[in-house]
Amino acid sequence: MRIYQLTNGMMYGDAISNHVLEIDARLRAWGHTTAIFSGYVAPEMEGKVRPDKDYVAHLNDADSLLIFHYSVYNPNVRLFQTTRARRLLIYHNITPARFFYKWDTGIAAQCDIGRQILRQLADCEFALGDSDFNRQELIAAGFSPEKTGVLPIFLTTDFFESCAPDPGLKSSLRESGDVNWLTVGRVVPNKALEDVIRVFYIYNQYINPASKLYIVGSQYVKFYVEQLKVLVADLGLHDQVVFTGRVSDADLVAYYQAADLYLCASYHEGFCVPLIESMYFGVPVLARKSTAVPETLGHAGVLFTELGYEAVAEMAHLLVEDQALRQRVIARQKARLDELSPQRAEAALKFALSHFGI
Amino acid sequence: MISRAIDVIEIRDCELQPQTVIERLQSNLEQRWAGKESVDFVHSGPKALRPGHLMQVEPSIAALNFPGLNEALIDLTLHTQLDEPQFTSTVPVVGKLIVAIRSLWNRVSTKWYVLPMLWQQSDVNTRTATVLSSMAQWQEIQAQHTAALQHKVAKLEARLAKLESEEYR
Repeated sequence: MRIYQLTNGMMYGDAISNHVLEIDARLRAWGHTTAIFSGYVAPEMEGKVRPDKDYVAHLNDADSLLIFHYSVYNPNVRLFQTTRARRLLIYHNITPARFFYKWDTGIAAQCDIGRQILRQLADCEFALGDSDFNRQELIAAGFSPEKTGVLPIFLTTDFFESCAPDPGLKSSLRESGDVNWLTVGRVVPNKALEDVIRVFYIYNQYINPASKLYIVGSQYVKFYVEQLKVLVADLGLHDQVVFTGRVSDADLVAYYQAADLYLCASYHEGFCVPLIESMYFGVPVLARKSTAVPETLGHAGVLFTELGYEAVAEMAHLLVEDQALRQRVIARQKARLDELSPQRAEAALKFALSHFGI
Repeated sequence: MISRAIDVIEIRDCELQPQTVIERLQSNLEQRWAGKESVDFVHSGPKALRPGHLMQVEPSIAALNFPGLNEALIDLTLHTQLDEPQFTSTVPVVGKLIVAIRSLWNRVSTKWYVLPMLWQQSDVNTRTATVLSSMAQWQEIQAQHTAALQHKVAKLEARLAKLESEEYR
């Protein structure tokens, strides 16, 4: 069968892009003819991925299947709405607009549109969330429960195994002997990075001054970033909190390998790939119990339910200093990674395709 | 007041002996924080980031200087996408046939040519809205800086006035 995938952007090192490529590889292995179309195609993806406009030639191909990855509003959603092909939606979640209203009206409006349009997609034949949390959002948006399922993100370690850390960065991060806290992801309001900074402040000022916090991720909500930097300055943490911005894959690996603790205070996650990356790199995770975070962690990691800044900072201290506890947490996280094996995702994909008689 | 560990921390891995960990945590909390007040984050740091303020929408300084700016930007973004007209007819009996013929004619004659242009224009509109939104953010940041500087200048002027008055005394 001809199975096409349509997505917002394809770039190396991006979780959804990797997911699309993994699905494509499985579909080919199962004997299907495939193609990937995307709104943005990074130079390294040219050849593997075609621009979304090229899908227009397939709009009338009623015998094909179109898999649409929905993670952000993109005008190419119209291709999914107008195609005569059979339609499978994979929902990666869209952050609720309320998180952005006071910070960036443009992004807030895009989130609003994205979520409004989600309701219009409920007439597709089958829809998948990459977590049960996302699946519940689909149902809340009007998708019929029996036409929904969960397809976990395909976790492949090949990428990390093939990517060596930047040696200079890794040794500089380890040189001082400081305890390194890490948080990874877009610097956006729903991640509540101000709480990460406050917990770190308690840890740094009252528990262990030889510590640093690295906030790794792209910074495009400028006013929010600005205010976070004001907070860091007000707390006198200039030299202890580092905003790296978006980093290369080699640098990302170095940050994970040099991290002693991963702290996630996010209020809204549809899956949260950095938790998985932390598990892979053996970094103990301390995370807010919200949205899809507990589902992604399973029984691994440690959760906090409210702040409690001092209690969370003390828990962080235990996870860093108590080697026995630390090793047990890391071992449980590794076991959780095994539970999220690609075989499980493969089975879920096959189950979804069975709804199309494939 | 310092929160109790048991109210805050949740350990779901039974092999970690959660109760023991929580007890140790509580003991550490009591030792380190005995007699101390919780750090006051509610009244420190930028107001927009204080606990409980994250999602509270307050008028920004830039928006106060340019009333309706945020609403206009949201409205602009909501209207960036061009829609294909849907043919309808209120003519009884043959209305459906008219719609079908017009739709078919549109598909054959213009759809493949006009539709990509619609997308292109929508793309331009989206980018324009994004740039304007970035400019509004930049304006807000500058407005905050200006307000902070004005506050500083006012304080410095007050100190200067005090020093001058002491000098002449």
